[in-house]
Amino acid sequence: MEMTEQKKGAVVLLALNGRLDASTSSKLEEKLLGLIDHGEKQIVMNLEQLDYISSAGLRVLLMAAKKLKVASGKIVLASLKDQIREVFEIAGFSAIFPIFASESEALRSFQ
Amino acid sequence: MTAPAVSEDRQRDTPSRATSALRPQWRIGTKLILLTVPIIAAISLLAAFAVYERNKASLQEKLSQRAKSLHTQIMADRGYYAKVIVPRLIEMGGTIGVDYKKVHGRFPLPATFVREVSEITASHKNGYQANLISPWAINKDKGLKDQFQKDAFNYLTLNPAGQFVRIDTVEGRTVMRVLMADLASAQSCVDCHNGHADSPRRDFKLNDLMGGLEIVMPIDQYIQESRRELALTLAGGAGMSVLVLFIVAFSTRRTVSEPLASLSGKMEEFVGQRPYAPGQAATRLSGDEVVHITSAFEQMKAVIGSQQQELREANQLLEQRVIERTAELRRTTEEKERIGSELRIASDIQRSILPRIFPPFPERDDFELYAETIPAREMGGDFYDFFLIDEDRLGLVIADVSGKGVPAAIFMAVSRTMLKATAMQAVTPDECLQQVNNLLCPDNDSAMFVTVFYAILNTRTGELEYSNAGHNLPYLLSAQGSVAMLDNPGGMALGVVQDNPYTVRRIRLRPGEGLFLYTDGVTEAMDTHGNLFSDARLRQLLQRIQSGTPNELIRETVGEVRRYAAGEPQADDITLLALRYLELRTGVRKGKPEVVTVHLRNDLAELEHLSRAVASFGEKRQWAENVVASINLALDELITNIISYGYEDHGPHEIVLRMSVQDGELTAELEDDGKAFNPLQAPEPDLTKPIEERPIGGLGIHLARKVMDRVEYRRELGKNLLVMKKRISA
Repeated sequence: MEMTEQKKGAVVLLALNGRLDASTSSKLEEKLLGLIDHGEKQIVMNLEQLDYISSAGLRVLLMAAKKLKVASGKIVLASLKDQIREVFEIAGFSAIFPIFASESEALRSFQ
Repeated sequence: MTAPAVSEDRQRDTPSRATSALRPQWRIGTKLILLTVPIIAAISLLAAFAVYERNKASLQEKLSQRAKSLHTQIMADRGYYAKVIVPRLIEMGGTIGVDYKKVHGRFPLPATFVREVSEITASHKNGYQANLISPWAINKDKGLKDQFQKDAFNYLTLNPAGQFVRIDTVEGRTVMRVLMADLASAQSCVDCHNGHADSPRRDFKLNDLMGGLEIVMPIDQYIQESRRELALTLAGGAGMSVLVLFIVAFSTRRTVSEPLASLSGKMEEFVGQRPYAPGQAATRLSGDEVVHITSAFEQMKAVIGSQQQELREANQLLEQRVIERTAELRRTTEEKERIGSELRIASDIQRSILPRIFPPFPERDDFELYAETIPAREMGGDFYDFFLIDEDRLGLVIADVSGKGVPAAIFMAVSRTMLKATAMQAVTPDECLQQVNNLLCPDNDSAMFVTVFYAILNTRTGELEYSNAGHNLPYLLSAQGSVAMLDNPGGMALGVVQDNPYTVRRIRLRPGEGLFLYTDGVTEAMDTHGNLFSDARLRQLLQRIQSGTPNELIRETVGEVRRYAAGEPQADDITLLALRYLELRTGVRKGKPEVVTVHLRNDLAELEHLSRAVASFGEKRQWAENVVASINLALDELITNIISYGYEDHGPHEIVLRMSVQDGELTAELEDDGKAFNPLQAPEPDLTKPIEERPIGGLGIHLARKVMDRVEYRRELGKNLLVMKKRISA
């Protein structure tokens, strides 16, 4: 899994590429916790290039969301592939994560 | 050893307690009293004298006021006598003089008048006397007589308005003598004195100092009163002292002496557990409790000091031990980790280079092939291999490297690569073995060797040519149901003797016949009594199961060996390869679905391998991408679970995935040798909860269940088996 990070104003834009499973989730976990510890409160995850996610990946996103909630911040998701969206549905994550069709919409949600 | 120590303590304890509890009890109290009483006495004395002095001062003040009023009164009386009465008397022909009592028609001088009136008052109880004195007195007897009168008059000549006061003793009585000025207050006084025949001075003017009025007031009665008062004050002070003495004595006994005695007793008890120095014991009996305690403290200091020293030494020893033990543990741990990582490396080498996806050649329906290797804890160097040399020729290898661990694994990797490379050059088995032997011999410093059975199957004709380098001979599973070991062509293990010759043998497999290759880990598996599984037992087993597919043959054999070993640790790798030669290319076996087997290590990095295997399985069956993804997800979750939580050691383990499709339904089986665990017992997560209450984790099993139609768990032969079913819509 590859990650690219961009700063758009107060928002951190993190794009994932590849597979987010138990073997790669720790990389994302480290990244997100680092951002949150650093005081970032607005995070957009662009999942357009994410091919696969397992519960290990969901776990990391949930943890980040919890931490941000406490810090009055927010994490939103953008551009989910169908199979990724399906996993979110099954896991009941669609209800707890704001999901946007595109990155720009996700960014706008912070304005 | 204990008894004398106790009696010694008692002997020492008893007298010290007696002295501290009784005799020195009052010592500190006495000291306090000795200190307190003089202070109280001094204070009361001071107080008494202060009162006395104050009384004296106020008495003097009072008396001097009284003297002033007397002076005023007497002067007024004399003035009246001198100004009013004396001129009348003279008018009437009278005269005034000292000798008025002797001469007829003569009257007293004003000064005499004062003196004589004063003599009358002096006989009163207060005994005041008034007396006119002057150095120029007409009456010669009234000159300045004593020291007081001289001093007082000198004072008055300088301070005519002043008052000279002195305490004096007159006729045995203590008196206060006050002298105030007698001024020439009237012209008659001046005229009389200037004109009198007996007057020693005749130049007086009005308001001149003519003499002084002395008032003498006895004060001995006041002094007695003051002294009584003083005595009373002193008596009060003494009483107070006695009271304080008792209070101090009592309270020091309660608050100081007793606790101190108890403290010193306890300190002695404490110190008593250690030997005394004789000199220290002697100081103990003299002095008060404080001295006593000081001495006990000295002893305690010595005792504690020596104990601290002992503790420090013990501590240092302990620290040293801890350091040594830590170092030892680190060495052991490092050693273990080294061995552990060596085992893992060895296992990784072995697994990573062996083909692990079955069927290996899905497009081929003229033979079936399955192989498995189960590494021992300390891995040996078993390996199997198979490869298509060309379209018609299938190479089959089974081998066993001497030794264990990383060296064996490396030697195995080298041997396997050389064998395959050589075999692919289309040489015969004997030539192949000979060439590899010659490659392995020269640089074989570690004196390792490898036993190899190598065969080439002509899949078109069924012809099988094989050579052997010291390996166990495979069994031929004939179509008639017989099981026979192949003839031994002879030949030494590879890596031992340079240029060693190998022989080739040829047989023909008929369709339906099989070949069963194995390593000695199978036949030399031991039961709890140390008995070997043996060739005979393997042959019997093969006879019973010989019609099974290669997969079944191997699973049955492994199961049988495990049952035989009954939990005994596996001493050597167990490696098996089974082949079934089928009809010519049209001879696809009916009725049984194809089973794809994927071997995975207990490493999360294998998830990617899984993903590829599932993708290839799905692709071949033209499944939709999301179907493949969801099956992958379910397997991923369950395998992640096994890898993360299934093993109590950190050693290498194998997870076997089998997938097959029958009548549009996928069956996926996961088999692992981890601890018994049924993931399906995990509670279902509540997906309606808000983000704050969502537990992190517990989702994986939920996802697997949701994706699959059915998931079942069984524990079989010491393994966990998860069987999943999913109907695949076309």
